[in-house]
Amino acid sequence: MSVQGIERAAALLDQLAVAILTSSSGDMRKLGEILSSFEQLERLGEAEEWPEVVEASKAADGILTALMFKDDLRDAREVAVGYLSSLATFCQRVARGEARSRTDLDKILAEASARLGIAFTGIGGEPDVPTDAGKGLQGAVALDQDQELYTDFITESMDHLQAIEVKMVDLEMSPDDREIINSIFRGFHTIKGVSGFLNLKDVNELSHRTETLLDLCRQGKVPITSPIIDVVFEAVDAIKGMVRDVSEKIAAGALERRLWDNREIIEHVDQVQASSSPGGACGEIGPPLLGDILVEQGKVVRKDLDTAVARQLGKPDSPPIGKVLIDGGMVTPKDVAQALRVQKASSTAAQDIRVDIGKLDGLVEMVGELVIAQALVCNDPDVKTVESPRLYRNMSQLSRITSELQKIAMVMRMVPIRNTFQKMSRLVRDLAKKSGKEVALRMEGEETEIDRNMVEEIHDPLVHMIRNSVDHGLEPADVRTSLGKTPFGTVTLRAFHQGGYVVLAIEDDGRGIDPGRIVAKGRERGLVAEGATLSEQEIFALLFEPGFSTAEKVTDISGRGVGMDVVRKNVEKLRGTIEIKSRPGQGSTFSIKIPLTLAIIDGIVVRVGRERYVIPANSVIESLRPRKEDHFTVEHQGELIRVRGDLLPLVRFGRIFGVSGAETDPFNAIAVVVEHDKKKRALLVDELLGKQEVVIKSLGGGVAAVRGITGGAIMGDGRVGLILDVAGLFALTGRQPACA
Amino acid sequence: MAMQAEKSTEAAKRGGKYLTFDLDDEVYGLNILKVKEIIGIMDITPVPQAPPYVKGVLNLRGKIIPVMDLRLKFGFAERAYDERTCVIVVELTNAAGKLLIGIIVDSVSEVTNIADGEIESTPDLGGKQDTEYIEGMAKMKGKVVILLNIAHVLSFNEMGELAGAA
Repeated sequence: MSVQGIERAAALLDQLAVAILTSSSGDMRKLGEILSSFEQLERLGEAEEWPEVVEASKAADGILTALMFKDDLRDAREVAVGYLSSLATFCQRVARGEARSRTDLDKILAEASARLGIAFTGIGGEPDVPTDAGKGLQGAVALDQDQELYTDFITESMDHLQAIEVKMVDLEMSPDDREIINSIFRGFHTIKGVSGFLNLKDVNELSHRTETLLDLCRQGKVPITSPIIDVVFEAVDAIKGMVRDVSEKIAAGALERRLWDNREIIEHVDQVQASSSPGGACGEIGPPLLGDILVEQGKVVRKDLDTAVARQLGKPDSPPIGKVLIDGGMVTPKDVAQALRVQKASSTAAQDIRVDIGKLDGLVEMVGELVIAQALVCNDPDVKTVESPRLYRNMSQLSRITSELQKIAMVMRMVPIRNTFQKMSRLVRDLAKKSGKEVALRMEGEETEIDRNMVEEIHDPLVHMIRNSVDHGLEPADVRTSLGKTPFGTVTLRAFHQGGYVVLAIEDDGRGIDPGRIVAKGRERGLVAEGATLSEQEIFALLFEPGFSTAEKVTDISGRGVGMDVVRKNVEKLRGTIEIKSRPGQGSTFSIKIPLTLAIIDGIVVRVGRERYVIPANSVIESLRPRKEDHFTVEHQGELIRVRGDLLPLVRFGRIFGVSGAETDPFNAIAVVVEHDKKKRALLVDELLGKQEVVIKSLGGGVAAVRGITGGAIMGDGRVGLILDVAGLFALTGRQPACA
Repeated sequence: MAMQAEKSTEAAKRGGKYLTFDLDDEVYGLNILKVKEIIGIMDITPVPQAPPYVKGVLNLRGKIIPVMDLRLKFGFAERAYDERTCVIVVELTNAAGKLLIGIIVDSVSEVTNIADGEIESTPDLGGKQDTEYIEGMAKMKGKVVILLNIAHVLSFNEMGELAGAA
């Protein structure tokens, strides 16, 4: 018994006492508090090894659960609460170290059982849910609780379910890891509790059944096997469905909701539990394990890790790998703690608060406006005539603060890509199963952050590309072995920052893209002229044509040929690009490159005629004044400029965009060298005005999507400057050296 | 006959407050509910490859909105902008959401109440003028006010294009 434990128990029990005293009929919130306190007490009891406390807490849990289900019990509420009180007092005495015998506890339990008509099923058991479960739940329940309670429940349950899914994949890799089973158990336990309060009987029933199964697993009475993992996933899906149903009903303002019939799933759980035998084969996929993380961090050598894993599996109680490594002196507890943090970062973090996204976006938009307004004031010509160092100092300060504010606002919207990546682990597992292939998924750079508005948009493209990799890219195990490859294919998800962009890459070590087949398919579809030769990039570009697919048959996963062009559209919506690299027989890599934030770019401001244009700084290589001896014409139509040995096409900006008053004499103008996709062009502009950070605004949705323009920016003097889309510009000017 | 009856019941619903403005010597009216604000003519940034009546975009307190010259849209000759020229900012809703668009007119007159009784349905002018976008005609102080259905002024396919950029 630790001093800390006693103190914590005392604090909990004080809390409990107050809560019980002040609870009143139908006060769901209070009951929730009481339940939560008993749960914490139970965990404390487990940690401190007070079995009586554990049992008493479980019994209290049972009483509270029964209170929710048995309507007739509501009359006996006072009595029930009385027993809760007794149980709490009992625990208090145990915690204080006063010898309390089991008989006292048994007496309380027996009385409660008799008076309230609840069965406390043995040691470590929980009272059964009333026999409705046997017949399948029928009917509807009223949705009459406070709206907020339901919305909170929905958000939190979905979070729990997502976390459970991730941990389930972990569990696949380490089916004996008690910690993982425990946390999955707790997830279901919480969902069961809250759904009970809200009288969502179907959710409660299913989560309860699953929780019971997991309880047996975590006690070692039932080993974790593939069928068990599958059925838990089934339960997760069903619960998700029910939660979504609640969400829809609430949104539609419904007053009640039909209960779902989960009999089949529950029977399935029964089956699986009864028939589970030790040593089921589990898949080999999952996110990084603690051991792997430590190896990556260089804290332990792979060989030592393997020894430790062997040791872990050899031990009867299967301690967590971290503990084994520490015991073996291979790593320090600090290393393990840090690695654990890396691994567990997906589960609910400690220091978050929930903020409504609308408010956040509103804030960020206002900050954007503030930046503009501040620029307007500071650049006002009248203000500039004032000769006051004090004024300039203050304006400088204002500038700095606004800039800082802007950075903070942008960062607020960034979230790590981890969440998205981890959703993919489940996808890969399902895909692997469906296609009968063995797939290992690796993830790198999960902490890379992207703008939260992009998370939604990026999800589908990633899904499509992963499907492609698994379905088309990877070969079946036997083919791979015959080629001398490992029997399982590896798909690697990688994220990193590059310049002002985020790059998401999906790499597989499969069969790569066969250019011959693609060209053949292209000819078949009339996309490629007979006898035309295509460069590698042009061949890959064919993959993005709508309806293009070289799959022999359409599987339900992919092969319908709708994937890649949708992917490209989505990526272009984010002003990003897709790049394909592939080596036949070795594998392919698909990379999506998207700008770091949708809102702000660094731009080079240029003047053409009366108008100002902004060229994204990332695309600008250099600028120069062309000289006669470096200027060449081709067939009297195209123009080329020699820049440090390279001949670049000259693009007359003014002509292409129809800007009046643009400088036509190239030797009196500036050539700005821009690059896109490894190709360079020289843009002819009148004058370079400087470098500036601009807020990108869409062109008011009122102007047809203009090729070559990606949006507008409010310039310092309040006028609008158009932002150049270099990719579009290159496409406009096509293959000819310059626009006619 | 049935058509006429339909149109007159429509006229019955059309009474209300209208903003009247001038193009040359013709007077037009816009339902005030669609009008967001009126601003004096200001700097417009031309946008390449736009139809000739789309003059470009302007900065409306930090928001960029496209601007259309109504004269050019209706096929009038272009006229130099002067101190009376105004931009009427209208708000339209389509499948993509709300759109703000500015319309350049010669001058703006007033906001006036037009009663149902004063509105007549559009006669068939027989010309190639598409009268889809004229909701009706009102008689006011001896002048004829042509009531515009602004959503129709930008025909549907245009609206679709316009929304495409968002």
